[in-house]
Amino acid sequence: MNEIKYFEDVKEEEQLPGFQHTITRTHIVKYAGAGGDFNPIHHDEELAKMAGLPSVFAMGLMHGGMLSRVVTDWAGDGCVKKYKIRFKGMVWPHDTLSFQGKVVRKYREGGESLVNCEITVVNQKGEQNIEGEATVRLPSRK
Amino acid sequence: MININMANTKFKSFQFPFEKGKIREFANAIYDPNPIYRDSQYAKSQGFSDVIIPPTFPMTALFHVESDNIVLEVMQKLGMDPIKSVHGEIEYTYERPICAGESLRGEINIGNIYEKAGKRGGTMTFVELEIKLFDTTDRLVAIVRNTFIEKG
Repeated sequence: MNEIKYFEDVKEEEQLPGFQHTITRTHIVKYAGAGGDFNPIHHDEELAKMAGLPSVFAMGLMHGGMLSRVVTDWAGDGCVKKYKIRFKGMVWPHDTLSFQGKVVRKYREGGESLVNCEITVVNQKGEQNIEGEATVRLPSRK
Repeated sequence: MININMANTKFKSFQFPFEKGKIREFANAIYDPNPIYRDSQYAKSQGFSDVIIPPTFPMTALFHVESDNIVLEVMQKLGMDPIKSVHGEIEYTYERPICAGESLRGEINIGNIYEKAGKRGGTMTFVELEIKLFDTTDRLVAIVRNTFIEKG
């Protein structure tokens, strides 16, 4: 399904294909079950409101997990050497999130051909929810 | 008060089986339709022994650790206040891809504990929680580094 991405074909500043999701409570519940985060602040509306929040909010690893596709669709399967995400802002039901990435550096190190990418999740207000970086190992034609 | 003496100590060990059904469920939950996470034949045609895991999958280790809530348990042992604490960041590092059918030995360790001044005054305490995964020959396969932040 994914074509092979060769190290030589990568350009610095290249944009990775992105996508959007509009988040619902169903997304949150599906991720809670799959990922094992049963912290009630993410699914118990009454508890979230008693804690002073407007509603439940998504666990960072949900959209943090959705973001990985930006890297793997572009780089190919089994290439990830490093995947790092910082949680910056809360994600609420009905938020529309944009998942994006771009190449920042390509280099050879330790016998590997590596590409560093910046990856990000931004909501409909332009607020950044996740700031991240990924390093992939790519095959080389040499 | 956070117990700084717990920095750089071992916390728990566990066994982590990587299961095809769970990998598919996780891929569904992150809305990634890639067949590499679902179709064994396809994965083999791509050179893997079976379907592989998505990059953030290893936090499902939570299902395999003896604890009702390992994050809460670690916070309690450290003296962290969960109400004042947030998950700051997480980093996954891989030596190689992990496939369904593997079973890796896991070690949960407390890493560094350090403080920084908060932007709005007060002190923020950073606690690193690390999960290391080893194969049957004791080779390191992956590390997951979590940073939790308690706001003063």
